[in-house]
Amino acid sequence: MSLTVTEEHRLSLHQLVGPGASEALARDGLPTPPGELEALPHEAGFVARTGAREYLVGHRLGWTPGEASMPPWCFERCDRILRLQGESWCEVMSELCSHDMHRMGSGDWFMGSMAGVDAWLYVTGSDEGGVLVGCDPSLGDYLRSVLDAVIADRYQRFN
Amino acid sequence: MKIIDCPVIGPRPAAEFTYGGAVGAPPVEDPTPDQLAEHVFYRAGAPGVLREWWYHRPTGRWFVLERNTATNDILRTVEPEEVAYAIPML
Amino acid sequence: MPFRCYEPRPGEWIDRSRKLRFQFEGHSYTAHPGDTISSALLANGVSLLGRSFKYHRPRGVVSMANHDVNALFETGDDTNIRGDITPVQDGMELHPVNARGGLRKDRDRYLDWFGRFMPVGFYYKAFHRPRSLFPFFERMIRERAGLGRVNMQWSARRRPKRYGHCDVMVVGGGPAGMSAVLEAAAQGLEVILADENPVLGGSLGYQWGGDADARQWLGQLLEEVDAHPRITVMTSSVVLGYYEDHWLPVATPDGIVKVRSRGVVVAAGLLEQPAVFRNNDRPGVMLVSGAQRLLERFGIMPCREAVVLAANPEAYAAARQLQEAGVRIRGIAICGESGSDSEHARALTRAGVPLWPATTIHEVHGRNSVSGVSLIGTDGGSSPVDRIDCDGVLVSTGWAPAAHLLYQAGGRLRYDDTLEMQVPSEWPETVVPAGRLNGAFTLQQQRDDAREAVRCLTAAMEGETGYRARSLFRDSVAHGAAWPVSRHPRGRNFVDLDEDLQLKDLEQAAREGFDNVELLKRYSTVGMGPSQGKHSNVNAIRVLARYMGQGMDATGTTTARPMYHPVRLEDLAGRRFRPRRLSPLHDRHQQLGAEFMEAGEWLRVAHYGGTREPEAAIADEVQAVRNALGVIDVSTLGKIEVFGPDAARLLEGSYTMRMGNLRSGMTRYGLIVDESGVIEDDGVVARLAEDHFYLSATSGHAAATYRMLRRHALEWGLDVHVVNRTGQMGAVNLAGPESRRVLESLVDTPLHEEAFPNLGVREARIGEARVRLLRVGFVGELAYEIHAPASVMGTIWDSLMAAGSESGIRPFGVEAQRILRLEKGHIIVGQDTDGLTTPFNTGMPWSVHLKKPFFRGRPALAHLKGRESQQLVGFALPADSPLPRECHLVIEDGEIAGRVTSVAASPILGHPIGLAMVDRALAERGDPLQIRIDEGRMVSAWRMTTPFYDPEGRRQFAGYPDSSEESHQ
Repeated sequence: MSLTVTEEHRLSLHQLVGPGASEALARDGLPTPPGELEALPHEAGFVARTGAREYLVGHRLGWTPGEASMPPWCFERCDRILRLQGESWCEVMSELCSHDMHRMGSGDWFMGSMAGVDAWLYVTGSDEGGVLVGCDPSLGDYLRSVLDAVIADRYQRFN
Repeated sequence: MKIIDCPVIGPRPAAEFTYGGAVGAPPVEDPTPDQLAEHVFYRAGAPGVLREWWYHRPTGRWFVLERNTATNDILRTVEPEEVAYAIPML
Repeated sequence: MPFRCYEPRPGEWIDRSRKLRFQFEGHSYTAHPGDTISSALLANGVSLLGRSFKYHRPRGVVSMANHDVNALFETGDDTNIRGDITPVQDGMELHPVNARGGLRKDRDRYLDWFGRFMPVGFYYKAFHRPRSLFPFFERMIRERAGLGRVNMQWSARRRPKRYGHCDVMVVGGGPAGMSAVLEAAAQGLEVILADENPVLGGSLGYQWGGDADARQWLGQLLEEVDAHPRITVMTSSVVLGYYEDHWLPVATPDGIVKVRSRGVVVAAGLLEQPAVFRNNDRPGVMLVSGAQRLLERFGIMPCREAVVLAANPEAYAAARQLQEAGVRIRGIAICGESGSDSEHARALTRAGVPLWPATTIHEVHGRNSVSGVSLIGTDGGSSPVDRIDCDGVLVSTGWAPAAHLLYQAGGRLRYDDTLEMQVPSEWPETVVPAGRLNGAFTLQQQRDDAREAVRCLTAAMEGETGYRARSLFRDSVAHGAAWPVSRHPRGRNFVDLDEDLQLKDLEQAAREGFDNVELLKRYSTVGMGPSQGKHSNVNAIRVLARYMGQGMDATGTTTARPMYHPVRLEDLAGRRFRPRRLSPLHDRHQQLGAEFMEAGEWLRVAHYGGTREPEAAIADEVQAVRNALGVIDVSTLGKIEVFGPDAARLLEGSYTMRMGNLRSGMTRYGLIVDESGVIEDDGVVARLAEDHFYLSATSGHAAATYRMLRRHALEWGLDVHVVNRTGQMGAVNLAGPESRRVLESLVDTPLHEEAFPNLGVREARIGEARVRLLRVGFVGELAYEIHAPASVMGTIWDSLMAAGSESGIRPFGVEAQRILRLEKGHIIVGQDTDGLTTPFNTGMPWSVHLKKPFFRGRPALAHLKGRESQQLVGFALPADSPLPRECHLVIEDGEIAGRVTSVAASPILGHPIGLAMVDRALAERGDPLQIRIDEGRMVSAWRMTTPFYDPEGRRQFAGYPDSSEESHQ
């Protein structure tokens, strides 16, 4: 029944957009998800395809697309990233998001509304990796406090 | 609440969308005041099939949907090319 | 008098091995776990449970089915507690609602005698003449009206909601519901079964209590449902309503679950309907199903000697069931023949129970409880027996389907003359009726109907078309009376027990012209009480139909709306989701003692120096910016990247001014109007390259502007990308004569005027961080706006504060910024503009480039040019003048001639200044403005052209001499 939420500080995020984006990924040895709103794991992070020519890359801290292979448009992202570890993450999410999280499998990528704010969710597929949840940096404190409140209330109800 | 099913994003609750209004006719160059008023202010209210702009906020995508305003059924997704028009430039 | 029977009933819900204690009206009673308040009181011989809403008549149990609204109770902190379904808790202290001085001695019981002065709709007609007395009557009526009192010290609670999912949702856990759920689960579907009672079984538990085979089937069903892995059972759970696309909110003891399914089976059963005769509201008069629930669920004998009013086979089965439990059936008055020749009827006759054909009840005797009945022939003539002593009257004259959910899903009902009740006539493919609700009455019919319902439902869910039409398993005998109404010259024969409406009230309303079911409902309030017509709507329609001489279907019905049963506000409220956006510098502002304010979803700094007088602190901040150096966090600004081959085209079409000719490395003020020419947003457009722009937008409109740009890209078929970086990047504005000197020490790019001219944009580095620098003039001093990723903003802020400390750098907030920009006459969209303001109203014709053949709003602006009826003007007031507020009116010759849009005391000029939107004639005349402020006082403001401060804008040049030569008063 335990669910832990930790701040994920070890990933850097970049958004690659437009022509040359997928080639840039390939040149840097990153996988390209075949379809939109799909993700593939890569090292400690992931590559998510958020549009026809749009990718969100989560990689080790300090990484940027190499200068030589820099796509025309690459932006740093400062999303607040939380890592949820534990079996009951679906139950916690069922208070915040109307999507049926039980249908989410290993490697699945989701973008929707959580606790009233836009967020993304990535199922790493391992117990240790858990589930990554990301949102706009300005809403990070809010999302974190809602998650903490839901988990605390559930602990009280079931203990 | 209503579910809206769009390409790529799949079925989503209507609360994730922002409504963008009915698809209008491309603007006429140099309209008369009557034509202008009609384009800007008039809306046909009779129930029927309407083409509308719908924006999915979490993914930032716009869709054009055909909806029956009497039954609220969404009939199909319309390719943006069908409603696009070229704008004159200087 | 009701009492608890000694022998436990086979399926009873109470635990006789344990006892609870509770209090009612100060008296102590015992009960068992599983008892509800009503059943516990009846077990203790208390049958007077409440006083009615209008006439304060004594009332008791009617149905025990969650709509006995006359049995409401209150405790210290809760009120309007429904006695028929609320479990008794140990230590509960209960009181009646709506009774002054206790139930027996309710001081308002005399209102029953005054009934003639309170006919239907009396509140529209009575008590308002003489007018002077109306306030007295109104106060008196308000004190008497209403039911429970609210404890004003109640502390707000919220119970979080959650979402649920399944393939099929089955509403109702009776024989049909359980059969349906097993059938659906057998097909491999995930099913939820929701029942409003704490125990499954429904009518199979109480109605068939005497039948051993039925009991066995019930046990089997319960076992199978419990064991099945794909079935989730929700008891004590009410499905509140049906919403689009199979969305069902379910009120559970743990809060509301919002269930999304792909198909719904509505097996919610039937609501037994009362008969109408004089004093049919006395404690002791109840529905036969109410008596069965009391007996089988709680082991309560409803009375010792009962008269039964029968119009269906259920009446005889129930009479036999109760007789075998020990109730003496004095006789059965038959007002509807159906079932009078059944095996149960014959068995009763053999046992010596008289059956009186074509007989109905004329009147019930007894004050606070039943002591006897008078009978009458159904044709109004004499009956075999005139008067019978008894302490209970059990009514079994008809049913109505609990089809609310079906109705809300688009289903419809029609009246079936064979069954003498409404049945579903049409329904959507994926929201289907089953069981008694669908006219199936025998257990075999209910099971077969449920299975058939699920087969058709799952076929529809798979998208199969052309499947055979659904077979129906409806019964073929009447299950009620067509006219269960008995007239009496002295009235008090009630149709609606919630609202105390008698037969004559409804007929009176129809006579007065409210002869349509919707009008009848609203005028008489029938069906508008807490049970929402569950026991009264059908009889009301019968009365109206007969009055109008038309059929039931022609008379129609009113709309059944959610919620199906009352639901607590704390459940509807759920958890509060109130997103709040914080700047990346929020913590630093807190450390600096900032006072925050809400600006939309954002939290912004209003001013610093928390404990100081706000006005003084703000004035100091303004002075600091003008005289030395200030820094403000503007991270809430919308920030949008636009790039690609058609980037310039997108902006040309979206903004009112030209953008295509903007040089790389420069910025331009940008204005956006809507199709009618009204200002929507403004900001700064920076060109970084031929195909790359970086725009800012107002905090409040950022999301909408981003949305609009993306739509235009699609609508105009453009090859362009738009990325929203509003929250991803932070921004600060460093403003004041010292700004260049301080920033030079930190950046790697030259800042003198030639290298970085006014309105320019540069990409640079501050330390390791890549930043964008824009020279913008919002506050009217030499200023640099620094944009950078949110992650590095803290470091940049710290560097600025350190580098600027010698110059006396001072952080400033939104309030100071508003004064500074006002001194320059700059507008704020949404404050100085409203839903009708065009750029011509704000004196900005230079922003509208009609030479462009196309931009959003161009045709409207071309038409409106020169036609504006209002203009924005600047004004000033003497230093000691009272300050007007935004939206105070400008008056000319006693008429409204405009309004104040912005106003503030200017620390730099030493007197109040402001902007007002006024009629054009007044604007052009240049006359002083007469402004009406608080309490109707008038102040006279003289006109000033804007900018009020530094009209030539010389302060904004990087080569401007130090401010020490130009100090300001």
